[in-house]
Amino acid sequence: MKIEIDKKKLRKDISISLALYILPIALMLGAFAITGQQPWNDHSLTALASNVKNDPGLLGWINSVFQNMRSWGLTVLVLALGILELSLGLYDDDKWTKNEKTLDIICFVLPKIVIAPITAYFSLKFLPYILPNSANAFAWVPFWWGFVIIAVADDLTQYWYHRLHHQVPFLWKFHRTHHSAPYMGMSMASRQNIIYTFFFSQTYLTATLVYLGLGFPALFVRVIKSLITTFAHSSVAWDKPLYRIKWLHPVAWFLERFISTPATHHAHHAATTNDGVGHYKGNFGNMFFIWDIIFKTGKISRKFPATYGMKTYQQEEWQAQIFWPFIKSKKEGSALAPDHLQQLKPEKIAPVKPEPVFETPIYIGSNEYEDAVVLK
Amino acid sequence: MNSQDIQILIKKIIVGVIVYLVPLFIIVGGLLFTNHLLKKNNPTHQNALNHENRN
Repeated sequence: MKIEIDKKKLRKDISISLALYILPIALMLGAFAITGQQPWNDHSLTALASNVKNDPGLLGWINSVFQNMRSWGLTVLVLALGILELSLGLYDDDKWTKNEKTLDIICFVLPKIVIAPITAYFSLKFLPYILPNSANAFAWVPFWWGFVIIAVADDLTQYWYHRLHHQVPFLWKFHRTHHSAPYMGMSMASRQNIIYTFFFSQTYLTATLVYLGLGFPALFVRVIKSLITTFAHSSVAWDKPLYRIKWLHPVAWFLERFISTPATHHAHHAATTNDGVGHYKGNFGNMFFIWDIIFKTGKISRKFPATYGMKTYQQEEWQAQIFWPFIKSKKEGSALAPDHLQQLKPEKIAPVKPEPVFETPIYIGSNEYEDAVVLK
Repeated sequence: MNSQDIQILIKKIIVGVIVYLVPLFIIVGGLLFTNHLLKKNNPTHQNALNHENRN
């Protein structure tokens, strides 16, 4: 099995990413130098979080909105969106089978019960043990700079985590569950294999930055990011009026390049690229689409794909989709079946023909990877 | 689960850890560098930080 990786492009993209991570900090430093601002001496800035919490006016109100959104509001909002999608008949009864419903519901609930306590343990016990006396070491970072640092750190890391799961063949199966559904809806945002969710790099990165003192900006980033990603997966396409109404086109032009919209993210979930709309080989951005623009992995579409999911989907059991590789699919030929890894060996795929089946140039898209197996 | 599954799982965890650690080192390194510069240019900076940590 030979997989050609465009190492040159990969190296270039990684170098750009390293610069992007450092950019907000460099700009902050530059701003301090130009303005003479000294946040480490300005206790009204460093104590912003406590000031805002106690503010009886607008700031206090905004803070309480975001605090409540994070604790229970987002869950309620997502459920309300789900009810709206159901009432509008956006879920196709033929496609949203009992297996799919069970999968969607468990994926929605499980991270809140299992993953949340683990990340809480990581933040409250593991980090103080590994990095003692470092709590709030960077609490002097002004709110807006902290907001930009966290937004870039969290979302760029998720971009790479996501992109690697599409472009590195052995990682694909951990992300396959997210793309298996032949429909779109708010539940897609949390529909993941448990291992994929458990090892979300950006969750631990943001938790570490929160421990180091960037907790207050992180609260706002998290809420805004959750809203953008949930609505990007939803079948309630909030962006359609932007494409229909001419005077809103400049707004559409900006938004579709800056954040994930339903149109661009639905294209990522398309079953095919043949319709000129689908683009499952790219559009990896979660909150920001700008990463796809920078790394040339994006395709901006104002149309929605006709079909979603994967050509190779076999309606695998929900248990296998959530808990693979601990639980395997019993469906013959399934990518999640016990013998599937054996099938990937070239001698078993094409014992007669010596040329490898996987000589597909990188960056192979998710569906192409499984199609290659089917084509054996 | 067979040995290949465990191998894939280990490789997957390593990728996750790298994707976590690389940006963390860059950001923490950048902020520490900023801290260092500020401290260098302003001796009261460390006092301010110590004051915050005590609180």
